Amino acid sequence: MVQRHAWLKTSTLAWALAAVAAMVGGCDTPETATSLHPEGPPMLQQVVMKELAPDATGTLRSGLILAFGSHELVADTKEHATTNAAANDQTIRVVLDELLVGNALEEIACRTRQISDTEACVVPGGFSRVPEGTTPDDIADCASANDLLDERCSGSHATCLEGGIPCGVLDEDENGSVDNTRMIAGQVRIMCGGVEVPLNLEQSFWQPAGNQQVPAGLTAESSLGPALILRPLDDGRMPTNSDCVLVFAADVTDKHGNQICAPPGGDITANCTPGDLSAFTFKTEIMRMTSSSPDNAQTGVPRTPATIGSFWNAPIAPATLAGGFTVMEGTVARTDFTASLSTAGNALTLTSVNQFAASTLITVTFTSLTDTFGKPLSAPVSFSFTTAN
Amino acid sequence: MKTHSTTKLLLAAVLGAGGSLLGSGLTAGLAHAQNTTGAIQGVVTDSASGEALAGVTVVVTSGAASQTAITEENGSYKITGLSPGDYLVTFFFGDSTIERKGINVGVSKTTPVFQKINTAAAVAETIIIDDKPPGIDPTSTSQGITIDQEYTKNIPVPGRTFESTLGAAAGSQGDSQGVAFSGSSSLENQYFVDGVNTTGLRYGTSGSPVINNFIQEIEVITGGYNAEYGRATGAVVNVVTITGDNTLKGEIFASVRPGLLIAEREFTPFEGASIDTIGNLDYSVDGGFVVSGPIIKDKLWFAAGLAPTWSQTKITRSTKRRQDCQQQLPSGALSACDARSMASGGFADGVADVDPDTGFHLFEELGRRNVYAKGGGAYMLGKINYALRPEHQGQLTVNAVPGSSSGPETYGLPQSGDYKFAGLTSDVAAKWTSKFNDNKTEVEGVIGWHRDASKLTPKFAQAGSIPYEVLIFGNLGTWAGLGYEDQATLAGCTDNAQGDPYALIENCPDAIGHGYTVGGIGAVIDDKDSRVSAKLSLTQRVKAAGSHEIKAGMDVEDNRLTEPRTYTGGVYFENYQDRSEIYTNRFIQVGPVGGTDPKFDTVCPHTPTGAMQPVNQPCRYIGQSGEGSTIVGQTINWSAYLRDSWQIRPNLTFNAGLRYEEQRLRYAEYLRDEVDALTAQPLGANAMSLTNMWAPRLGLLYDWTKEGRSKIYGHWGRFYESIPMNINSRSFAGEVAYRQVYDAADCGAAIPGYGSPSGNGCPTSGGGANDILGINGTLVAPGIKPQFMDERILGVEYELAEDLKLGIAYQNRVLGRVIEDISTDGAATYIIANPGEWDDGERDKLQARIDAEDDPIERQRLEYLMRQFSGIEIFDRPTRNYDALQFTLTRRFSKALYMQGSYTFSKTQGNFPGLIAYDSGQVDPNISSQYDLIELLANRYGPLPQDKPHYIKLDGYYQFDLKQAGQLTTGARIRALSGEPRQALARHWRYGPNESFLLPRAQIGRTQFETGLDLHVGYARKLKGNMELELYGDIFNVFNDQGVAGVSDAYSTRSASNPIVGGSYEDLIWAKENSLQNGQESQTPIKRNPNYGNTTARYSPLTAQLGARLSF
Repeated sequence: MVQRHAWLKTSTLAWALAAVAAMVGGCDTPETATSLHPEGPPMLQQVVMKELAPDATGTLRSGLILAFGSHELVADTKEHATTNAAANDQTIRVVLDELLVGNALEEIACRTRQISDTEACVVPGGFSRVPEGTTPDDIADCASANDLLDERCSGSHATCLEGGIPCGVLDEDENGSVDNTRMIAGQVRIMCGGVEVPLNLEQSFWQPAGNQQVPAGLTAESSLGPALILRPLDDGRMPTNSDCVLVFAADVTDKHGNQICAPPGGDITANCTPGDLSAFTFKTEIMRMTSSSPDNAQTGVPRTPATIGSFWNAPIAPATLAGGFTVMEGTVARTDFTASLSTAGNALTLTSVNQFAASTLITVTFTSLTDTFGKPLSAPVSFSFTTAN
Repeated sequence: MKTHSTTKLLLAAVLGAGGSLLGSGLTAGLAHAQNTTGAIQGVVTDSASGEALAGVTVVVTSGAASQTAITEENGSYKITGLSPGDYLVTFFFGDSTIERKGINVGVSKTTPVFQKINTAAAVAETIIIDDKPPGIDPTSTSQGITIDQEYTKNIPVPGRTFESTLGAAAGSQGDSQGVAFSGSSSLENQYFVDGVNTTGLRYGTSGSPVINNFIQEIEVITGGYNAEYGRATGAVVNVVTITGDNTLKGEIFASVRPGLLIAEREFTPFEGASIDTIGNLDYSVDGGFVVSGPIIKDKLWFAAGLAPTWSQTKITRSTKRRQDCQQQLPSGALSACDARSMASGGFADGVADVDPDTGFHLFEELGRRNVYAKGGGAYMLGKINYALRPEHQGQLTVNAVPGSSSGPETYGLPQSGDYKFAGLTSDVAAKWTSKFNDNKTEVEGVIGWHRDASKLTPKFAQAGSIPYEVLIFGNLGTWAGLGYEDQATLAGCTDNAQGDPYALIENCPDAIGHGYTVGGIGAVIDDKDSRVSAKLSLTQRVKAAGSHEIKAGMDVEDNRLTEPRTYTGGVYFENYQDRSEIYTNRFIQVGPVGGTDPKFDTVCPHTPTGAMQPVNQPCRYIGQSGEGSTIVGQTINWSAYLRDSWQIRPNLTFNAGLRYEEQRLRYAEYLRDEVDALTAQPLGANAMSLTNMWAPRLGLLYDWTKEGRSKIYGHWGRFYESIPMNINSRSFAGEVAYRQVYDAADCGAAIPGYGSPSGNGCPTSGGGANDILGINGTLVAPGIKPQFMDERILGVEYELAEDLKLGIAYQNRVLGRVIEDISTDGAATYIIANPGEWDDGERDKLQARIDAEDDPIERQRLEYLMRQFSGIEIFDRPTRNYDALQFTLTRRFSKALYMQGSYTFSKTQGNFPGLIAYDSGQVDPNISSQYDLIELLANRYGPLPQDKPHYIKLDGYYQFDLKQAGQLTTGARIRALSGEPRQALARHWRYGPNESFLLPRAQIGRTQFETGLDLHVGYARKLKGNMELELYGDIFNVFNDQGVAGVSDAYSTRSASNPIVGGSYEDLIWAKENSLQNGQESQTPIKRNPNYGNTTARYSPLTAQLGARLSF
């Protein structure tokens, strides 16, 4: 804080007035370790996501990295653009350098209000957007008991309306705040290879709290803020082998109406054009077979049952199973194998009622499988094993 | 550091309920010790030529004692060491004698008495001058106020002791621990009674509550104090008790505040609790006497007083349930109550009814009972003054205040929380003053002893040995089964019981976590604090390029504290019934992992930050007895100073001073032989030594009238804080808190009446998210520097008319550096540091040790320390800037009227309010939670809680002379002040409620502007001889405006959430909960506290006090 004190130079009145002037003058909030940067457009400062990387033994392990930007508490090895973002169990944390308007990102849960024995007030989908400028007091008004709603939940900041009638904010614990929120569909999108990744709107959220300091008990990768936490549907499933970008709706802005942009390298001291997110892209891991049964190069595999299991890092589109694989017994193609998928879609089993030939090299090749987003294998996947006598 | 502090100010609370009682007409004696006396100075000139007159004899007299001075070549003179009171000043020049009567001298004040003598007309005559000298001290830059006996007699002072008068000073305001001054917190003051430091040892509160009746004068210095004063960044309060002289005099007094004359306290609606309490004073009675006089005329005098006091407060405790039987009708009115369901034609809809006008739930009262809090005590004074000769005098003073009280548990079982309290505050002061060399040399010595003892015992003996347990977020219907609640409450709160009219709702939930206490009384209080102090000063007046008053002195203090640090039963339980979790909390001592010391007889599993697996930490539980259960702490202070008040010309004074202080804070006795686990060094004696506290003070004053009727002045000074001993108890006594979180199912079967298992059933090991706060102990940052404040004052005072003084002053105070504990590892290690700065030299030294270290383990340890200390710099530097413009108007009592008023326009900005964390209520000076965790720093900058931009004070009285019928006095006390900034606070997952600033300070605005008026009427009549009887009445809060004294800033008490940096109120809709077990965020919105923004405290209701004084 800068305080300026005007000292008496000429007369009592002069110094008194100067002192008053010094006191009523504005005092800017100083830049501190926890400050954000509300000036200019909102910028992506970091993007945290899960990446697959080989460990010392070459085994792929997933771990959080900064796929964009950097932080002094994060190891250099964990700060890089990724071409191997996890396609499963993925949660993307988009850390911004200032606050966004939450009303454009999330909507609140509404309740069903029984108007009469036959008539109920129901907000379609059960959630409602909140008008800009709405305060917690307005929410509390719209969380009132049913008989008070018409009087209290009105005006430009009323929410959970259907046909102009207030249905009421869901507030089962009666504390005047909303019980649940969710991300508004389409406001923040992950586009991968032209495909929109559906988000789990209940598990995705806007976290306005936080800054570049790491709270007790947490890590930088898990706690920086303010942040958008984006969780794809189906346990964080992403398309494989895809170049991905973030897309924000035009009304996703900071409090000054600026759209989000991504400065090169997450350097928020650099400029970027509002709405320009081209500096941030990432690529997901390719579609991979993670293991097989029998294992690759296994010998002495029993001849029966003739069952071949394969496990994948992404669920396979069932429609691509037919003609999507070959089984060679020695040099002879076996066409009697049928393919089936586990419920989750990432365990593919080939079975035949006929046994394997003895002491024969069996080679299985997957060729035209795709994941459920339609993303194909980047190259055929093959493994082999030898049967027992 | 997280608080578990217990306010130990019960004695003051017990004794503070009474009112102003009496005054006495004792006149002044002579020659008391430093800080308890004043002076008279002036210039004698020829009225015709204006030339200075040298050799004029000036004699000041009070009672039988007198002092003499001869004017210098420039006509000036000065007589010091005068006790506060009225004096006769006599000038002898040739055959002329000029007498000036009623010259008032105040504590630490110099009264200017300028005298013109017509030398041409000098004949043998005595001229008596009745006009009074100006009330402006031309030698001092001090800000503040002097309060005398007439003030406490004729102004409606709201309390009995001197603390209740301090609010009269411009720039002062009350806070939770006392009176704060000039933008500081109240724990930054120093208090002296008869020259002895009586500041509370533990927290820095006022330590000795002297009743106003025993006081001659109170000097409140709110800024600009010279080098004699230190260890304060707030104000210095000097209390001088009455002193005997050659006249036997005294007073018998009594006063009463009867409940009949006290308005009902306004009920403040409160959401979410099924128990309401409201306290109303039943009575407060006190009476006593004070007497003083000679034992041996002109040699030995005495003063003695005794003032017992009793009070009782009736606490009405009512139980209530929510209802579900009304609806708002289309007309807007509420329907009649019909508890049938809506389908059946009634109005029950499964949602508890709300009053549409207030927004509060509607309740039905079920039961009501009155419980009582009682207090009693006595103020005692004994004083002996001895004059070997007028120049050599001594004084011995004994002050004692024994007291006791008892109070009920209102949110739980009486056998759990009903308590008895006993305390004793005592002070002994011995002083000696000698003057030599025609009074040009003065030596003063003071030895003092201050002691404060307090003990809390449960009313029911078993509560002293079993664990305290609080049941939270449960249901009164269940708790009523424990047997204390009445039958109506049991029946009315039990959900779905037969006859429950509101079957669709929960009748009596504890929705806000107020809790219901069972078990023992909790923290054990049996404290004894003491301070032995000694000081010596030498004053020498010298002529050289004007005149100098040079004063040098030093003092030393040995401060000690002894207290238990334990809970009854060695543990306490938090039983969260809404989520079936039980927390066990206990103090432990940890041993090294892998160590073999058998005293660490158990393990305390916990998971350190970032670790995946728990660590089995060797430890020992600290019980109600044994090692570590009693803390003995010690702090040694010493200081020295040198100052010169240089009167360059009679109307131009330059004050310069330099003060040096040191403070050495020692480890608790039981730790001094221990080896620190982090530093591998023996702890030794001193935990923290603060040295190099150099405090320069400069002041310049000019009197343009040359008659003492004006001054324009400037002041600059540096002031260091004296750290209270609470830090010895918490940081330097190895406090380690172990919290285990259990699934309630692991703690046994549910107990009827609890609604859950008890914490007593939880195993001592295991648990879930176990947490050890302070496991790594407390480090002191190498090179730590003391906390200080810089002050600048520019002011002018002018006597507008006789007895009427106007003052305008600009005061600026800036905290230069702060000592607080921080943690860079999430509260595993606390570091006492200067947040935001770490000494470069210390960094280089540590780095050099690391570079030179070959042992990898030791090197690793040093690198750990380097990380810890380097982390200090990440933290924001604490700031507190106070700027004030003060306008004061003082009309000295004259022509039947006294008046003093002030208007202060101020700003108090920053991120650190001071030694009280007002927002969370924590009182842990220098080790509050304000800087513990990096995530708690955000949003703290802005108008601080003490920021009240406009404050108007006006006190006055008028005396009607009814001649033979006596005298009627009317007095008034008016206050008007801005509200305080409001916040939006949330819980921190580890630290608890009100720790997280969800929004920037004052984002929500302020509480409302408040005003108050108190009145006094007194009627006095002479009786036989010197006796006078006065009857009086005071009315406090005349308009019974029980204005808002506080509102809830807790936006969320149930949810933990981190700050929304720079956020606005709208953003709170989107704030998300953090896990209470590990701090991880979730997508769940935070729960709003239904009482957020509601009134939590109101000003006291209209209260009348009646009293009588018989003086002789």
